Amino acid sequence: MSLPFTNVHTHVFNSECAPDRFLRILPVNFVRKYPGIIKSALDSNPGRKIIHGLFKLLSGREGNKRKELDKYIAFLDAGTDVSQLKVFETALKTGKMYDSSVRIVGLTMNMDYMDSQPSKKQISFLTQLELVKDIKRYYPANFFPFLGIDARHKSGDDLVNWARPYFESGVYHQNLKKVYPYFAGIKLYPALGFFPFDPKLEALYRYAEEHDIPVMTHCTRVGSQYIGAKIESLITKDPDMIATTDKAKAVQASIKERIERFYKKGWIRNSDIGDNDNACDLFGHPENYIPVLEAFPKLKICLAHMGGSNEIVSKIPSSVKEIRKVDGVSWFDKTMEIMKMYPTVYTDISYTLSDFDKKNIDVLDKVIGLLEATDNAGNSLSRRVLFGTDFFMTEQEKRETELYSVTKEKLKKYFDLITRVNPQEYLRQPV
Amino acid sequence: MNFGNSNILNIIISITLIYALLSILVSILIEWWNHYKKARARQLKDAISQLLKDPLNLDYGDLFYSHFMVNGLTSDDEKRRPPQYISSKMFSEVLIDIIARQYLLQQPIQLVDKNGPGGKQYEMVEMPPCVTVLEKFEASLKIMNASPFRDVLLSFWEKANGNYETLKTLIENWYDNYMDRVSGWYKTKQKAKFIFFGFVVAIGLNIDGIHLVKILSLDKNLQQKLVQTAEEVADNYKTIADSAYDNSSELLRAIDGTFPDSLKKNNTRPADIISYLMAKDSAKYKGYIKKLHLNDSITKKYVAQADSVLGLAASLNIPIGWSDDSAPLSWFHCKKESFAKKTSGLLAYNAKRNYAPDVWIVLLYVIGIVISAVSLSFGAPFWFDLLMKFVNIRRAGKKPESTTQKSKES
Repeated sequence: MSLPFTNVHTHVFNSECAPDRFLRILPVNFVRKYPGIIKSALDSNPGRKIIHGLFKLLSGREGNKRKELDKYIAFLDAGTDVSQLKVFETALKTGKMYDSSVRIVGLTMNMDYMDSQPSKKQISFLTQLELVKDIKRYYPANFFPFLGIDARHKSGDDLVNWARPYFESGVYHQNLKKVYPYFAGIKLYPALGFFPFDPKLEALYRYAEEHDIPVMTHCTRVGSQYIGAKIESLITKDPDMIATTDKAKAVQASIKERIERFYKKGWIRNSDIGDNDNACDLFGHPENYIPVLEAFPKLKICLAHMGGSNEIVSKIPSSVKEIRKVDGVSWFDKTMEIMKMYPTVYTDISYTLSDFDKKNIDVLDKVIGLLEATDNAGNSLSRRVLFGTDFFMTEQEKRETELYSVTKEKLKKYFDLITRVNPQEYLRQPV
Repeated sequence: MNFGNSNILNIIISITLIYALLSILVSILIEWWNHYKKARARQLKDAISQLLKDPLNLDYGDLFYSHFMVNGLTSDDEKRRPPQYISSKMFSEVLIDIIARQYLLQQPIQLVDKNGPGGKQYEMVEMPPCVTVLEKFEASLKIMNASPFRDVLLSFWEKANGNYETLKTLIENWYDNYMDRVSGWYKTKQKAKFIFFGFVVAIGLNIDGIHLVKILSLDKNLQQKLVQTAEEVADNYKTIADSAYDNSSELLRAIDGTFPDSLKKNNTRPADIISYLMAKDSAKYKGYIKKLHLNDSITKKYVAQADSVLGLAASLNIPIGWSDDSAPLSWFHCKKESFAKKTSGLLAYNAKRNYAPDVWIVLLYVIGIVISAVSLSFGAPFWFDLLMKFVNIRRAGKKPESTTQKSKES
């Protein structure tokens, strides 16, 4: 059976889904103090171009700050005054050049808890999901949304009861004579302010494991993060944890030590301007998934982005060097280590692949190294690597079509595996 | 005293005509700015989102704007301009649709095979049949959480008694009443823009209100010309429908007909500058024009209107604008030798103001600009209404034309 081409990592939410002070994700104090002013300037095309130019000038072409701004500008370019349906249709158009029956995974994000201050213009997460369900109605065989989960939204059975209708209601495809659930997986974005090992999520993980529902989680140090005040209330020195095995308990100790080190360094500190960058790295640390994997050995989790390009390169940026002094782990290495230990752990090349053809860094070599490695049982890790583009966050880095062709050119040997075979193993959606 | 021919009244009428004409320019600038910033469309969207916000269920405003009928009205270019107007008929139809659709999105399914070679397999679970939109609307209301918004819809549903047209009418009336309030909010928001653009025009065209009064009191020919024009403008203004008083194009049409084409001077005005840039064989200029959206048809219309207003102002010889020979630019290259000390009247006034500035003259100039800016911010309808009143007073106080003529003949 020929399997459809699949992009497992895209975003379709628009600017209305993000909190009013979303710009605070940018590590610039002025922007964090006055996000409203900068947002007004960025809302128009000429304003975006001027600010982008200024940022380039001030932070250099390869700066992390510029990359962050690039992502936000890409988000505004694609997601301002446009519906989620239109955003999806743009991603679909590119995908169809490779396969008319292309499947696009759209990752929803619950941004209702991203800020401690309520937003006036942001639409509720439930509304975001309702619009996503509409896209699924129109494109049942092409669109596979993941349900954004946040441990602060609901917990335990309450969370399962809330999530169940999204997985147990769906649409019928007249031509294919197939039934598809509205949602195909679970999306976690811990950096928004919760730990993936939070016991509040335990019942949901159990439900997902029983129903073979895959989990996708953001796994890089940089990205969006909690932008509100009182970060200390979200990171206690002794957080509750799903811990069933000795291994999980050992990891629990390691996590607590890391939190302690971050507190000592002063990185976890209540900030009125949402200056929580380093603190939020703690939420999404790859090690945090070990207690979950120990408790739910059949649960499929994709640690997206392979830990991030910054972690892959040998010549790491100074900002990462500083972090490594406190947290000596490379997230790329840790991701690979976890993949070797747990056969249900996947990763994807999204966002990272925008650095594949950069000559001065060795991202591609390291990724090929991972693809050629084997896990503890002797199976190739290449069976658990997925293709994704992180549309539309990468639009400033490279156009979507370029990302497809770069992957095809640089990872030719693995192209069918990561774009067709592995995604089907991961998603298990009707084909 | 013959009040109809009073010098003071003539000056007042002339000043009123000048401000009426130039306040059209303020209105044009505000309309263009609102178009450029999509202000009207955004305000409408915010208002509808506010009306349909239901924190206990969903943000129906966003679902409303994502509905194909509404989203289809959004321009598909990079400006992605949402609709500036949504009729009550469309509102009611879309609202009924988005409420009814909730039922469709609840269709339960069942996992029947988890390990099949073609992935997981599901089948549909039977639901109570709902055929008509009204049935789906009712079923959706039942699955919504209790909320003030649901209560409103439930009340409409009960009053409609199963009649689709009645349900629509009730929703339309609700929307129309709300939109009346929205118009009020919109006008309030515009006030700050009128003041800002009043200053833009007053400074941009160097309109010194005190200078205008002084010139009009000294230059009888100009005064006469303006009063005559004011009377014709007032006659044309009467022909405009009440609903069009806020419309700058209508106001412009009313006064434009008053002027023969030969009078409209061909000075360098906005349209000329834009045409010049457009004609330039340079990608750079075309890029600016594109970025500022100066090449879209609506902006072109506003530029043409601004051009007409400036053309009319020029044809009336109104003492405004920037020139090296008039204040304040003339103060920087004071030609003392040209100051004719021994002259009197208009010439002496102009010479002193332009070439022998003192603190008092500078202060008067600043006050004159502020007076003009504030006056222009009152808006064109205010000045046109005032013009009508003053012209009527003049006509009431004036001896009938025929009687005067007859007495002269006898």
